[in-house]
Amino acid sequence: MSREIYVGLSGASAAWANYEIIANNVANASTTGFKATRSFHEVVGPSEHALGKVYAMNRGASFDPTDGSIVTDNVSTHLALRGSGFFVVDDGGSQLLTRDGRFSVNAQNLLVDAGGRPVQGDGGPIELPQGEVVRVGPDGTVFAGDQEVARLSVVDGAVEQVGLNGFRATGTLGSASAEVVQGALETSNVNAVAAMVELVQASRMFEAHQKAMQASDDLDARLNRFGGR
Amino acid sequence: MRALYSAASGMTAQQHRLDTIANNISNVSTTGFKKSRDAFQDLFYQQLATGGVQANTLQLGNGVRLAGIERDHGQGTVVATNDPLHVALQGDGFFVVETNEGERLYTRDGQFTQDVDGMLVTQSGLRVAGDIQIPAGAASIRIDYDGTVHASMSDGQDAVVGQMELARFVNPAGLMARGGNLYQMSPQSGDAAQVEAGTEVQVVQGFLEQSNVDVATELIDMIQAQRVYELNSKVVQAADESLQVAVNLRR
Repeated sequence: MSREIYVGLSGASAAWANYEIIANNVANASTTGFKATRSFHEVVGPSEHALGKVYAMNRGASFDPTDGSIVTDNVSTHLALRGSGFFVVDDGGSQLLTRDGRFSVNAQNLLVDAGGRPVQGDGGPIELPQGEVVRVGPDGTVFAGDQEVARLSVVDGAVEQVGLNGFRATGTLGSASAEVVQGALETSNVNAVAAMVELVQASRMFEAHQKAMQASDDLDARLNRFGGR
Repeated sequence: MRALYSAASGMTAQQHRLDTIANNISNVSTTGFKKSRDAFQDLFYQQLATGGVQANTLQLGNGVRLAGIERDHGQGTVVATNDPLHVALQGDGFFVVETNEGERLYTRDGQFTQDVDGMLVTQSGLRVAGDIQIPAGAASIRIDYDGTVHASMSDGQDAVVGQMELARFVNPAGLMARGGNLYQMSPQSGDAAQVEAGTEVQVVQGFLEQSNVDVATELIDMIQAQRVYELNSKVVQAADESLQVAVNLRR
């Protein structure tokens, strides 16, 4: 029996992984601060290890760091980042990074994210005195009335997606160049047109590999008939 | 199969977003109504080790979930009605009303009236906290910025008949909506705090606060929700077609 059918299978599997990535991107087209995943493939072989054939493999996926659009909603505790960087929230003792600036003030006067996690400033959680007008400068300085109360931690570095609009550092973090925009939210950076093109491409890729598998199967069937004569 | 479930979660999310938009639009003429917005979060990622020369990981996401519905307590437009018992709040705060059981509820709807006893009540008959009774035969009613209600009697005397109680919350978005334009305190909102009526927040007589829903924004959001729903359904369709192709491998 020939092993070509596995070459087709490797390609079809890679195409299927693309479906999964596209599905997740499109599902998050309305998620604040979401970053789309991009996958990349690699060809493996020919080598002895690869049985002399060339296979397709999903080698990894990383997220697209480009900014989403910044949409103004004039809610004073909604913040967006323009440029590379992340807000820091305290997720039960560990640092979690996020671009989702849908913040509010909780019952303890602390600035928290949509999941209720306290947003971190340079000096820990940010407490906002009640009844004062909150103003946030482009450098992340937080004013309550005329009083400077805190400075938002905005960091940058190598990160990976962990879900619930969170990112986790995979290396050391440094200060970020991002600018804080008050009264606005960053939309998802999923591009609908690009997603549809990727979808069409994934179906065609799947189809092509299926044809290859079928052709390999046809050859094997003929071989069997030939042997049986 | 994950692709199908992820896309399905996207469809569910957009369906929910449409529900919220529909509720906003249907309350575009509701006095003191505050619009809501859905907040979404991506789900956890699965790490698949792919080996190879570089230790890369393939991160596969699992779709989206509704993280919460956020109420926007932004000020609505204040318009004149010239009814002396209509009041609007300018600034951050709520009117306090009491149910017959003595429960205190909060509202921005100042479309007040008087009941048979002359008590100041909401349209649904709940008493405005502060025990404000308008005497029979009052010629006119005057309400100050701090919520103090004066009645001018027909003999020219001016009498203070009560003061409306006002409250504010650290996190008004955490209040629980009870329907009927009423809100209830919750652990998320924090306790009701005193307001410096007249300075921090002003009671404006003869005006009502309109709904803060902006129809144009809602319609644009609706179009977007529909398109994203459609997009997700296309992913389901494409993944399904490919699955069918895979199934037909065995002829």
